[in-house]
Amino acid sequence: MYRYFLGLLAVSLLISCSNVETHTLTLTDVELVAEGPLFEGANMATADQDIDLTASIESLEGAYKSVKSAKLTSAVLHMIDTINFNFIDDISLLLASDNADMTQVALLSEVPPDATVVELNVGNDQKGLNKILNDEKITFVADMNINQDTFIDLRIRGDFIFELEIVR
Amino acid sequence: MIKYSFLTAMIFFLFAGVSMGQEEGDKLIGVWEPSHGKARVKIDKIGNKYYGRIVWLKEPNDPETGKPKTDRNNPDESMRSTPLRGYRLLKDFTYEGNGVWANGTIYDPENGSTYKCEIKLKDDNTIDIRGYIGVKTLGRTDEWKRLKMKK
Repeated sequence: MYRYFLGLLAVSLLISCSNVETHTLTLTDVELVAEGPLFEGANMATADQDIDLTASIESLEGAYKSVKSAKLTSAVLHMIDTINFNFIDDISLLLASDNADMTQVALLSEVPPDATVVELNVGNDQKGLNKILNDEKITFVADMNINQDTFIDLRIRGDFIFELEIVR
Repeated sequence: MIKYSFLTAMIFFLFAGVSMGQEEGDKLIGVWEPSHGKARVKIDKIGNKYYGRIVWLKEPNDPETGKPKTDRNNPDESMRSTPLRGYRLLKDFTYEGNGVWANGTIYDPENGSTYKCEIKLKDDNTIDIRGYIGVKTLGRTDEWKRLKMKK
């Protein structure tokens, strides 16, 4: 019984000491590139992005321990050089980092015709995204099937919003 | 003087060793065909890890719907319309030396399960892919062949 109370006390102390805050991280103008020539079928575009949460999130002042949970809530892609997304059938967005496993975070299974801007559907699970955002550098990967050969580099601009729970 | 020469030599060997390790690790990059021959998987390097995605399917369309096959067994229901062509089934492999890539996972679209996985290079054009649960002894090995034979 005594042990039980000691355990309960320790857990209560831990909860009261760790302060969890919710913040929004917005990353804009992330440029994903696939070097051409690209051939019909499965292709990918990638972008490396340095992550400095204290610099990127105004409301997050001072030091923090870690990102406890993370969820991508919005992913909007803009075509840079070409007129529209017509030569792309579908886009799957994944995130990766050196010290965490890659995870799929969003999908657009059918690109609407003549779209110049597309919004991806964010995933429910997004398993392990917090580990990725605890790293200093993350990689955005856009896997896509294209329906025709193209001889130019494919450049896509991405705007992303994440909801984070951060432990002080 | 001897001290500086020794230091320079050490730095040279250190960088040469790192570069050789990278080159050896990159032997995995290419297009591979599993023994069943139903798919081809392209392995690329992103950052310092290796990933593989399906680039060709023998039967690209679902016989029931006539539409391109999707990842209908994905545990995340919201991602089940991800096309199988282009799907990343090998993830997060690091090169451990001696022709072994480890710490990765393999996804089986047939049942929506992800297994721990290790890859061994048998020769320049053959790899053994071992998927397992928990310990390596509880698993299955498949031999994959490189699609474009090296001369």
